[in-house]
Amino acid sequence: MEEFLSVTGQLFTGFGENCFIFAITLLAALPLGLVVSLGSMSKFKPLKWLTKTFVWIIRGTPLMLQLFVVFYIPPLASQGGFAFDRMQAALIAFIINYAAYFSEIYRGGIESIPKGQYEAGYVLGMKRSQIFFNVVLLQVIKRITAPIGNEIITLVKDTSLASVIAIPEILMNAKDFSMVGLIWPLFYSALFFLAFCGILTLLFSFIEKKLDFYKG
Amino acid sequence: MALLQVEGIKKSFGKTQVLKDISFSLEKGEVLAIIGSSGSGKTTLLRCLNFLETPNSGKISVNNTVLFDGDTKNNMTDSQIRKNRLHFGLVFQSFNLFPQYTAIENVMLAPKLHNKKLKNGANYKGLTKPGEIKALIREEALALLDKVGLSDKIDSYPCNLSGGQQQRVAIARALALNPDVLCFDEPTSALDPELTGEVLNVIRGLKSSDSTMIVVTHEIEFARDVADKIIFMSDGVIEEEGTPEEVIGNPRSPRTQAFLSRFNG
Amino acid sequence: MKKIIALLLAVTLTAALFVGCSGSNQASSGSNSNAAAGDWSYIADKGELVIGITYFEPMNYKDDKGELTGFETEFAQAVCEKLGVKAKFQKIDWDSKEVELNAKTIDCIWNGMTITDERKENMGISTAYMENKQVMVTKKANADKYTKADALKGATVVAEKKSAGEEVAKGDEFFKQATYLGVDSQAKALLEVKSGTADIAIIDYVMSIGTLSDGSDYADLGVVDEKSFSPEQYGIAIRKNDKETLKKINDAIDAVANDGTLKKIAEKYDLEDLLLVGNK
Repeated sequence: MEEFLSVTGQLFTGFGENCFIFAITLLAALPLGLVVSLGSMSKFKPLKWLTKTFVWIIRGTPLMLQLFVVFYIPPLASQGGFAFDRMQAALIAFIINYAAYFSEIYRGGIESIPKGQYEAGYVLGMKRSQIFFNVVLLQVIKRITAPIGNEIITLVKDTSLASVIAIPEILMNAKDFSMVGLIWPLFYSALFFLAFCGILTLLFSFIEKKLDFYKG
Repeated sequence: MALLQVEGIKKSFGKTQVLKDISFSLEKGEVLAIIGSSGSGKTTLLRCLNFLETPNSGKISVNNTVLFDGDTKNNMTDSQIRKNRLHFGLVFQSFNLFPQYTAIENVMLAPKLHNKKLKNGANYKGLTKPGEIKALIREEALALLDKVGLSDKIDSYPCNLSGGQQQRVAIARALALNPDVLCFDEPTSALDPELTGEVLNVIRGLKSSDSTMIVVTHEIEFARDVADKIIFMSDGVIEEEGTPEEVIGNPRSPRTQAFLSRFNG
Repeated sequence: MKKIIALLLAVTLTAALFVGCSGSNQASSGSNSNAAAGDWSYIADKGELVIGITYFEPMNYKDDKGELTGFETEFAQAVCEKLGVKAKFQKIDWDSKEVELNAKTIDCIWNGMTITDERKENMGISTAYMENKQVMVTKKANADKYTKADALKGATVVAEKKSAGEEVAKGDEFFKQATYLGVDSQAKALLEVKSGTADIAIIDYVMSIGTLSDGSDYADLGVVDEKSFSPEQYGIAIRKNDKETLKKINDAIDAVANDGTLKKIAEKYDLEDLLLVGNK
């Protein structure tokens, strides 16, 4: 029992790191993704090309490698002169990675709104911004809720990758127990993820239900 | 002097010239029907009038005020274009209602947005208090929905309305801004045949209340019945123009004849 | 490791793009073989030696109160005291230890690290201070079974990739007839045996002390006593070519060995028989 409590306590400490990475990444990547998606839909060709390349690189390489790059490349390149601390590096990598994924979801959502919706707004004398906020936005939100929810649940589990740059997150803590002969904490840690993802699933089905008042 | 004066409108998409020198005029209270086969430029003409497309050249004036001049088109600001659009209303073939708003919210949205922050002593029909303005806008929206026969559907979402009902909401929405000229772009083409009648009846009703309208339509009988003036367009030009008796009853141009024979055949 | 560094460099441009780091103009110096001259003063200026560790009982681990302790932990603290710098322990991912060292995110690796030729090539290695050997771990029920090479026919042997255990499993005559499987950690190797997906794990003797004790989940596993392989030695790794720091550390090791401090620490963890320095 005492062992169980102490393991639970240590896993909770580790899961705190996961939750921290999760929260900060969401807070920053959701708006940043919108900026990136606007860039990738820009009529200004160089900007569009640049953001598309950026999204291609980020989505085309493993997040694990990106964590390595952000944490190790600056000190390797500057001979130890400059380095992010581990958590900073993890946050930078996660935020950039998820902003790229979110931007594609936003782009898909925005581009899926029929042109007629904009034109209906124009002929009623609305400004672009009025059309965006009063006509398009809610429709986009409704369309992207499911894919965003999917991505957010992936993020919960991806936070474990931070262990490759030695952030003491839950899986790393659980693995440490196996070095002192305890295997079960590794499998026990799954409950933490399951519980968290369960809450998120409920939250998203609630949001989807709220947005279900109209179809289309 | 005519309410609407259109002179020498030309419009090309790439190398394809869609409108080749279109000119016509319309008196207040008149109904103009534009007929012609698909690809003849009817829809593009309506889109030009509503500033969804910019003509390459030509002039558009309403009430003797030049709204658009091909020579100075690059100097138009966004806010000027928005102001110009308010002279026209447009009812789309595919309704384009806002799905997340109820029927009455669809009608009220634009008036509410236009009167949200009134500055410098501006007023809405004499009112300045936001609460009173909102109440008046709602009252007007209710009257409009009643006019199109939908007083029992004001709180329905578009997804719960039939095509004909949706199109009638769209008409009420366009009327809410009191446009000088109300344009219809094939308003019944997306409807099941049994639903076209209700929409056409609404348009007939508007004629009796003296609205100035331009209707692009394939309903020849309706055009003959409701229009004061008919334009037959073919290949980007006005092939024939005149009263329904002239254009539909006694077409002179062989193209008009060929087009009409398909309907009477 | 070199491949990984090359790969990392290949994406440096990318890094510069999104990290906005200022150091990318020196990016070509990634392998960092010239850490050399100023390195001790670099450590001395900081006033602390950053020691890369993983949790590994009895070397570095958290005790019941959550305090870091262990043989290596205390040993490192004693040495740092002699050096006049603070010991700062940084948990790392063992697979990235060379990158961490070159990136100067740590200054040394001090974690029951076996001295191998490959590591001598890539890093500076201190005086060997402790002996280690590889042992066979199997289910206690099978302990008598695997004492002869013939008995290993058809058996699966696991060890950590690139470890001394792997060398034994692949190179020793005894395992000729067995099937070898490399896994990513010694703990994983034990898990394979425990779950029955492999028959024998080859791990560090020192590791087996901490993990196979009564009351652990591995209590049903045991060391095959008759057999041990390739005696080897533990050392501390620092950046290659940093002769000055190496000498400082070696002198400090001698000092704590000769004044009896090291022996006392070793006795605490029941490791005194394995010490290679000082008076036994």
